[in-house]
Amino acid sequence: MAVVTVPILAPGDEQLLVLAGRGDREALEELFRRYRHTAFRVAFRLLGNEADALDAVQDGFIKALTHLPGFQGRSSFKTWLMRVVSNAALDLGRQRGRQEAISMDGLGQREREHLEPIVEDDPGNGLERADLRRELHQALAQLPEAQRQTFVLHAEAELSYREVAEALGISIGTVMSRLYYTRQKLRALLEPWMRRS
Amino acid sequence: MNWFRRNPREFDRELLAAYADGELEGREELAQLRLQVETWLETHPEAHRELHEYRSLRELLEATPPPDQEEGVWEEMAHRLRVTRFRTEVPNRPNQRWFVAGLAGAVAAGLAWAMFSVPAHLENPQAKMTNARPGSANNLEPFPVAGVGEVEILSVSGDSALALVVGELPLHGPMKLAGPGEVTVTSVQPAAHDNMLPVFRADGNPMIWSRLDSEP
Repeated sequence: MAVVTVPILAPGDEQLLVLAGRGDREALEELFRRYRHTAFRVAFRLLGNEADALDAVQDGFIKALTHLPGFQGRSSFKTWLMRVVSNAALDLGRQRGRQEAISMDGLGQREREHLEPIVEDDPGNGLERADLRRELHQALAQLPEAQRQTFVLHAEAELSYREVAEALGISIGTVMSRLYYTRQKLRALLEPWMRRS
Repeated sequence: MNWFRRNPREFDRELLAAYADGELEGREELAQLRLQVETWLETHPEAHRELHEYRSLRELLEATPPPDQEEGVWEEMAHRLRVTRFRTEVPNRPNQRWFVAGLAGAVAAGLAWAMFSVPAHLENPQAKMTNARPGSANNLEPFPVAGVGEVEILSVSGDSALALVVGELPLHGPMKLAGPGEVTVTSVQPAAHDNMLPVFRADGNPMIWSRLDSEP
């Protein structure tokens, strides 16, 4: 019996897409494993809570994997997927009536812990991070949807200007303008935190 | 996007943001713009302040990642995706599952690789695989058997790597065409450079495992 070891690169997205197009379930699952965390970061930043973000991630992946034959490869798979997930998150936000402000003051201790995990080893930092997260959500919530989506695709999905432009079907100049005005707004709203950092 | 439409005489805040985002890096054609921003930074304190604020904002985002999810949450979602019937699937398609996901970029270590173009008679894999069983090789053109040092691998890519020779060096004797199930990946191990190393098992003589793709 011959046993040999062959180094082989992990398949690229393009290979997985070919395999997935033939119904290869493992390829579909690998694509999910690769991008689930990024998709969750995007959805969470757009929606502001874990449960909705997870729903949006699932909806986004189902839409993307269902419509794989329609993916024409004009952008990378990641770019296309993040557009689908961000659109799913925005759709969900509209359906559920996105809260303009997540107020935790009116919540009891149990509800607060459920919404925001407390870092047990350093409770001070955990609470502060939770407050900052809430402030960031509230600040983003005040932005027009297009600016919010552009910003989140760049900041959380780590898409370049060109990739964001491809994802949204806009020019790079428009990406730059949206990002600029988003940052101006966020700077103004988060000034106390920025001074502290 | 025509980056060069930016007015070099004005303090371009959008360009400064692009600089902060690393969008002007690594591209020769943007070197002039990069230099322009760097000159502004040296001569305009307000540009420095603004750059600092962009970076502070990025730090705030990095300080507030979404809460980690337990692996069980992802497994449950993967399960739901698994049971969803996607339009990609075509019923009654033969289940040609290749144990190795991705032959592209494979590098042989201690293996002799042979690269073949797919012979015409292999276009109908099911019929020809039957003919390729041991003792029934008369219907196939013989594969040339390369000796050690007779094959030099210049490059390997996904489109051109259609066959894999599995065996233990030195290779002796004729090679036979592997049938389904005769070459098995028994495990995959992580490697130093983040490649995954499949461990193959193939019984008997050295075998050629050819990717027989019947799809149009």
